[in-house]
Amino acid sequence: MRPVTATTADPFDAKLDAAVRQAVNRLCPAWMRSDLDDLVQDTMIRLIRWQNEEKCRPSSSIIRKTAHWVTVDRIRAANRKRMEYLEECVVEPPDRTPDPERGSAAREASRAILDCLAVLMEARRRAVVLHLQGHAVGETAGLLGWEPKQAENRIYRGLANLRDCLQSKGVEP
Amino acid sequence: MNWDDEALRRAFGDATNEAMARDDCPTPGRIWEACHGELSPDETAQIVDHLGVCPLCAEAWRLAREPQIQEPQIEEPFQDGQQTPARIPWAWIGGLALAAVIVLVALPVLLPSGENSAYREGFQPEEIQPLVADGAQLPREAFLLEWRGPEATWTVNIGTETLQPVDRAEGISATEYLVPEAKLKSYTAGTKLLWQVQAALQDGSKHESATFSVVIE
Repeated sequence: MRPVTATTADPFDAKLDAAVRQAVNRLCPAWMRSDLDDLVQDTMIRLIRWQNEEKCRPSSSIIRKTAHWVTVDRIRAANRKRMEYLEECVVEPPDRTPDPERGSAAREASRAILDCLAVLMEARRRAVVLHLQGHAVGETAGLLGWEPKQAENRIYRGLANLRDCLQSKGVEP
Repeated sequence: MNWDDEALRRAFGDATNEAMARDDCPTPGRIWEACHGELSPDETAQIVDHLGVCPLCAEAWRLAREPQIQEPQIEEPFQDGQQTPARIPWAWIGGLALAAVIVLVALPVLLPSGENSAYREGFQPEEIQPLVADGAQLPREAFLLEWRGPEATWTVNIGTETLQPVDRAEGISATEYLVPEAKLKSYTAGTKLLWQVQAALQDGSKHESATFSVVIE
């Protein structure tokens, strides 16, 4: 039998818990902070199952990926609830924007961006989407299997097309 | 005011605020893999095309890419591929964590004999053994857990596979415990439960068993 001291928690538990909390903290959007403990618990459950199947302890990469999965699932669930609410109620629920006055202009700009992206040439659209997601030219090239110069051209031409489209719609930032 | 990169990114990001869920969204794991360059360029391109029409997935991609809070890199908690037996973190189960001694144990039934000798160092499995066959079906009105072990005062922990506590009993002098039917009413027939016992010996030492399983008939 394995002797157990009266005050010692298993070090495995403490390490995993700390790593999960850090990962979830880094991912959790501000509007979901009240769900932090639930996200940690759900992530722990998935990681324990993974560990039981794989028979080895999770790396930080696995921990982050699992925390991401749990967080995105929760965001999607919250979105579905919001959509159900909208279908049932006349009055819109409060949205996630911190500044309600900016909400109307922001909605118009967001719709316009998506409409303008849809009419871009395929390669330029992909380049611009990754650029808008914060990727550098080299990263975009690597992800899409392009030469860096190719990626650069597509990003800059795509952005020019996007700006022209937005101006033609009369939409201001 | 012109559409500089910051304005474009802000408008693209704001699209999540009234985005509607779609039926063709990739799994979060797929988005993670694409973002981290783990998919082929063609597979990644398909995901990127989806980001252009799905603000929620675009947000999921950004989450995969950047931390929300600037913190030091997550310390690698374990060595890569560090072997461990399957285990249930009884200490982590909400409601069961007490100041008393509850630690993780192996699930030896999941492992071929002889593996993980480092974990079993000092462990003498014959000292605490279940008298209920692992995975046996028990009727909820007679859910009797029995085991063999040294002279001790026993604590019994019972939980689900998803780490939800079901029952806990302390101060048991016999080597058997009848789980109250009321504790099982939330669980359907066929539900697998995990149980573990802990022995407090007269010399003050505490020892725990492996984790065993039973099924509600």
